[in-house]
Order: sequence, then C-alpha cells, then structure tokens
Amino acid sequence: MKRAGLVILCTFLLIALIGPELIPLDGTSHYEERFAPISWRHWLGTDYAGRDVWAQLVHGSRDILLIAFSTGVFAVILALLVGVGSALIGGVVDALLVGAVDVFLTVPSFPLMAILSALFRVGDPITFGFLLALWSWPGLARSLRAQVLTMQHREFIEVARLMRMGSWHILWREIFPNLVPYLSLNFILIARNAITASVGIMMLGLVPLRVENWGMMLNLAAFQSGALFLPQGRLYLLAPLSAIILFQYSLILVAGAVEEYFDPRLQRN
Amino acid sequence: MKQALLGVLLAGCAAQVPQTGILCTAGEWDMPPAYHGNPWAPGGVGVARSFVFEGLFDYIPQGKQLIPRLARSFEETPQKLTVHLEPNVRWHDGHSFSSADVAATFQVGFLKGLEIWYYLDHIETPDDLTVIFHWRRPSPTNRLLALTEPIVSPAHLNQQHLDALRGLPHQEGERDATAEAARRELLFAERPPLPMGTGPFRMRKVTASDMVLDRFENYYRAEQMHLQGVRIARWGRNEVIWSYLYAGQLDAISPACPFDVAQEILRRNPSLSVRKPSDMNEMGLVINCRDKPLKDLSFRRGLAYGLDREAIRQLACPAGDTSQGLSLGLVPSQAEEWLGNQYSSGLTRYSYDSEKARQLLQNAGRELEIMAPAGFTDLALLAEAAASQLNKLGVAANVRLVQGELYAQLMNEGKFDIAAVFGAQMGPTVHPSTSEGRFFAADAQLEKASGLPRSRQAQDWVAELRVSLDPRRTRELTGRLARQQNESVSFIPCFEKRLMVFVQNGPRVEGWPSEDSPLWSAAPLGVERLYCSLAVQGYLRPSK
Repeated sequence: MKRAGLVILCTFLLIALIGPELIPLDGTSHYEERFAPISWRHWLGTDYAGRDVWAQLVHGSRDILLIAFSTGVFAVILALLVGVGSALIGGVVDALLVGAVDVFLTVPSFPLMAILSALFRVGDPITFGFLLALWSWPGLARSLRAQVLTMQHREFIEVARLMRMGSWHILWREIFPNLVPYLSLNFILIARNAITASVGIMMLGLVPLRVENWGMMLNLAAFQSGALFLPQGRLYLLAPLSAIILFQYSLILVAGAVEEYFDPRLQRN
Repeated sequence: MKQALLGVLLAGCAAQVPQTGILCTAGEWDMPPAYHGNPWAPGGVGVARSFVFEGLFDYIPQGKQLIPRLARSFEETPQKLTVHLEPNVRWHDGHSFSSADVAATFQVGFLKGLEIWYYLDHIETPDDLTVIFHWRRPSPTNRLLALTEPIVSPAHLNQQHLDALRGLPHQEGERDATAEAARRELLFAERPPLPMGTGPFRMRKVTASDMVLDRFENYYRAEQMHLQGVRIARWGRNEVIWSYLYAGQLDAISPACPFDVAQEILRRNPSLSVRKPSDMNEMGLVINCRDKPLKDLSFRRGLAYGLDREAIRQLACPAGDTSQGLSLGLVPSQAEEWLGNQYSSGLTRYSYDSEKARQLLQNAGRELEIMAPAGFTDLALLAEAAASQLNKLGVAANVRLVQGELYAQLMNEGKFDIAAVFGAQMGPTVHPSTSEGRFFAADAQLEKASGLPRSRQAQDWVAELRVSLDPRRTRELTGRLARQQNESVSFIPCFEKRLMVFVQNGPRVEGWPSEDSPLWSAAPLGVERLYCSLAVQGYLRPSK
C-alpha cells in the first residue's frame, strides 16, 4: 500500500509537471455544452460553462500541489524552529516564543486576511502557501514544544547526556526521529487544510480567483453552479472531490512509509 | 406503545409544517439578540419591513398604476400634493393612525437622508385624515417618493424625536451636520424588541432561523384579506433556498438561480412556477480610466467590442436580457419609453466583433484585474466569463473577489482596473434621473469610480432632469446624457437582470397572478412588498 501511495503521488506530480504542456485549457464558456457527459473529447465531462473538467484538473494540479506542499513545508519549518527552539533554549526566549505562538493562535485570521487583501496582491502559489502557513504553524509549534519538553526527561536522552553526546547529536539523532511521524501527519493535515483554505482566501480577494483550483472547482460545483442539485452535474462535483481525496490518501500512505523508515520498531515488523 | 410513540413523533413533525393560509417565504435579518424593531437604525426589522409596514399607495410600474393602501385618494398641483387617508386604520398597539404619523415618518426620515427632502419644503396636516406635501422643487418623481414610502414612525411614540427636530434647518446650504448627527444618534439608540406598524401582519416572534407573523385582526382591510400569517425562513445561502424549493417548503421566493437548477426544481415540484419580471437594473463592467491601457478610449472600445455579452448573460443571469451594445445610463427595456423609438441613431453600437477588438486591444502592457464582489454569484460569474474572453483575445486578465465593504472602498479610491457592478438602476421612481444620476450626479459613484473628469455640464443636466416636468425636455436631457455615457465607454453593460420569482400554488397558498400580469412589474421595488400587496388585494388565498 505504501508503494501505491508513492505511485499515486508521483502520478500527480507528473500530471502537474507536464500535464499543462500537453493538455490545453480553454477558459471561455461554451454554454450549449455545459455539464456534458464523459466522452472521448471530454474525459471527465464539462462544467457549468461547458469547459473541459479534465483540463481544469490538470491545470489546477500544479498550483494545488505547490500550495499544499509549500504550506506544509513552511508551517512545519516554522513550527519546528519555534516549538523545538523554545523547548531547548528555555528561559526568556521560551517565554517570548510561547507568547508569540499565543498571539498567532488568538489573532482571528479572517479579518486580518481581509485587511491584507486590501494591501497586497499575491500572485504565485509559493507565496500563497507561505501566507496560509502563517496561520497553520502555531498549534503544531505548541505540541512540538510540549513533546520535546517531555522527551528531555526520558531515559534515552538522559543516557545520551551522560555519554556526553553533543546538543546537535541529541537534537538530530535522538529527538528529531521521534518527532518525524508526528510531523509527517501534521504536514498532511496542513496540506489538506491548505486546499480548502485556499478557497476562502480566493473569496477574500487576496489572490486571484482560479476556476481550475480544485478547492474552487468543488466550491463552484457544490454551491455556485448548482451541480449538487443536478444529476448531469454530479461528475463535475465528483471529479475535484476524487482528486483531492486521492491526493490526500497518497500523502497519508507516504507519511506511513516515512514513519516506518524512521521508527525501528515498525521496520522490524 | 410503539403506536403512541409514533403518534407523538408525527404530531411533533406536523407542528413544524405551516398550515394552509400561511405564506412561507425566506429573507434576511439580524439574528437575535442583535435584532431590534427600529426601522431607522442599522440592522433590525429586516424582511419583516414589507409585511409590518405599508405605504400610502402601492405602485405598479407597468401601467403606472397606484393601488390605495393607507390612503384613499390624492390630488396634486405642481406645488403641492394632497393625500386623503383611509379612516379606521390602527397601529398594531391599538392607537389610531392619522396624518400626524405620516408627517412624523417623513420628518424623522430626514435624519436618514430620505430623497424626498431634495424636493420637499414642508408637510401640512390640516386634519387627521389629510396630508399636504408642499414642494420646494416640483418634480416628476416626488409624487412616488411621497406615496410609496412606508409609514414607519407613529407620532405617539416619536414625540421626543419630533421635538428634537423642531427648528432644525432642512434646506441645503443651511443644514447643521453636527446637530443632525446628534439627533440621529438619539434615533438609532432606540431598540424596541419587535417592529410595530399598521400593516396586515404583526410580528409574533423572531429567532435565528424563523420569523413568525400573524394576521393583524384589526387591519382596516381585514375582510378583503384571506391569509392567516407569514412564516419567513432565514435566507443564508442560495443553495439553502434551492433545497427549500425542492422540498416545496416555500410559497414565494426570488433567489439567483442557474438555468438548469431552475429547470430541475420545476421538474421535481410541479406546483411551482416562475415569473421573470425585469429587476430594473443592468449589470456590467465599470472601467477605471485613470491608468494605461484603460485610459485610452480606443482600448476601452476594444473591450466593449471584444466581450460576447450573450455568452456572459447565459452564464451569469440566464433569465436576463442581453445588452445590445449600448450604454445609455438607462435600463434597456426602458430606453424606448424615455428616448423614443429612434434612440440608438447616432450612437456607436459596440456589438460583439472579435476581429475589431483584437485590433484595438493590442499592447495592453500588463495583466488586467476584474474585481467582483464576493457573495454575488451573478457578478462573480460575469467577471469570470469576461476575464476568460479577454484572455482568449490576448489580453491577460484575472478575477479577484472582494468583500462587500472593501469593494465599495476600492471602487471609490480607484484601486481597481475593471469591476463588475450594477450599472443603470431605475427603482424606485422608474425615472431616468435616478439611473443617469448613478453616472453623472454630483455624488455619482460610477463616474467617481471610472476616474473620468467630472462634467459640470452633465451634473447640471441631471439636476434639471430631476425636476423637469416637460416630457420633451426630459427626453432631450436623457438623450444627451445617454450619448455622453455611451461614447465615454466607462461602463460596459452586459445584461438587464431579470428576477426569477418562484411561486407555488401549493398546499398552503394559491392565487398567484399569471406571468403576464402587470403586477409583477412591482417586484423590483421590493418583491416581499409585492407578496404583501397581493395578500392585501385578496389575490392570495388559503389552498383548498
């Protein structure tokens, strides 16, 4: 199953990498062809404007993958730096960092995003991912800090200290491998949330609206275009939904593989 | 035991379903505890306004018919309008209704900026059943402004506000903004729990999900009215309304609705039918002409030629009427009435012509952004369709959704390229001064947004149009403004919006007028107000 995850993920990456070059996307509407069924011309039918759904999925995959991955990466790095840093350094730095985390946890993101949308334009998916990551890391940072604080008093860390292992060794060889499963699971959750959150950000106007964004496709299908209410519109609804589910499932399987790689007990089994 | 339990369960379910004679619709209001019954203060009252309050007359634009409500008749000269009120009218608290209440409403309404005060000098109440409006500026619209304004302020409950308003100057140039603000604050501070009016229905309760209104038994036309009450569900989102319609739980509602969804709803629920009156407004794209390339008239013309409005209309407003390539500052369906049948002669018609557009749209130089208000499905779809068409023409364009308040701010500050907006709007007076005023009046939002130099001459024409009683002069001024608007290409109209009013001759209510009835032309002035008017006129009856 772990291999299946890798295969699905690689397929998505391949689609995102070369798909848009091979499959053209005609964004204009062809009203008379709306909600067309599966055909040789339209592999996954058409949407409410008669646009090809498969082409939208392919063209949306690059942005979606970049947004999901970059949000996950930025959020995990920020959480690691702040959470692990504050636990290891302690004292005033710990108090300051915990204070910063609390501020980020309590500041309501929605009104702040609305204000930001008046000031800034975000064009590329990496910056978009960073923006989403800004509101995704604090909870993880707090959990990591708590885990590291607990771990510091566990026997194997005490032993490492008695054996005069360096701080870097303790951090990277003793503590970090124990955090990896937790980090990979959170990476997936954050990446998943990024897809749905991206719709909210588009609705706020912080980034341009893209009808080929999978989350936006789902939103348009379920709410704006009424595909949810139409038998002929179900395919348009199911296509982005299935893509999102498959993508997340592949991430979960890959996360399981990562966990296995870092956990010797799982490797033995 | 099982049967008893089932009985209790079914009885519970039955209690949730409104009985025959109860009109079920949906609308918006502030959820309790924010809800209040002050019709002047922000928030509050909500959709109940149309059922609890009423005006002196109901106006039907098609045929220009005035149907008596609180008033029986009127007579007028250019200088004054004399209205004779219906006797035996009572407020919901039992107090008698009189001319003092009409005067109180307009006087208190001055603080809220009622448009009538541009024309009105003072109101006289010679007796309890007569009101005389004395005009400072006689105009073709002042009669409607006086006769259709809901009467919401009973004099017996507003004495302190009327006392506070005494001596406050009403004329422009003499007004005291500070004093007005202080009195407005006093007015807004009042928070009765429920609204109280003279209308055919009185509020019983309001919750986060429902409003319940009962028939007002002392209503002066009670013998003519057959309905027992109104139940209003909270609107929320359009999809919720579509679900209600699927389930047959609403008797009348006017949601934005894609063509296919409407067809599916009608197929599933045969007791429903649709009326499609014009909404008396036009949707399109306002252009910010401050910066290049939109500063160039030829580029703007290229945009006007390059947009396939029929394709946009199909997506964004399937029930609407496609704009025919003219931007007149009037709703297209009213153009002939106000400009004559030769109205398009001498005007540039920007019919869809992609080749011409390509020639004019060269060297855009940058990506254009089309702004649309979040939550307005039709405007968002309009923007999206326009952006994709421009991209196909080689002009890079994207869409940006913006929240309501911020949207207005960005428009006012000129921080946008192109924005999807309502253009010409002719309600509630259905007069060209209203719609041309949106483009050319001194405080015109659309001209301000476009950034074109303000035309003093056009402002004067609008000011004259507002008070012109000569039909020939009215047509001449409207024509001049239409020409100026059309040739500036600061606004590209895409379609005239039509409402989709779903009505159900179903298990609770029946008697909806047929599609060709002129009564539906009143829908854009307030569709709930029309439902209430139909109830008062006796059209709506409990289902047999």
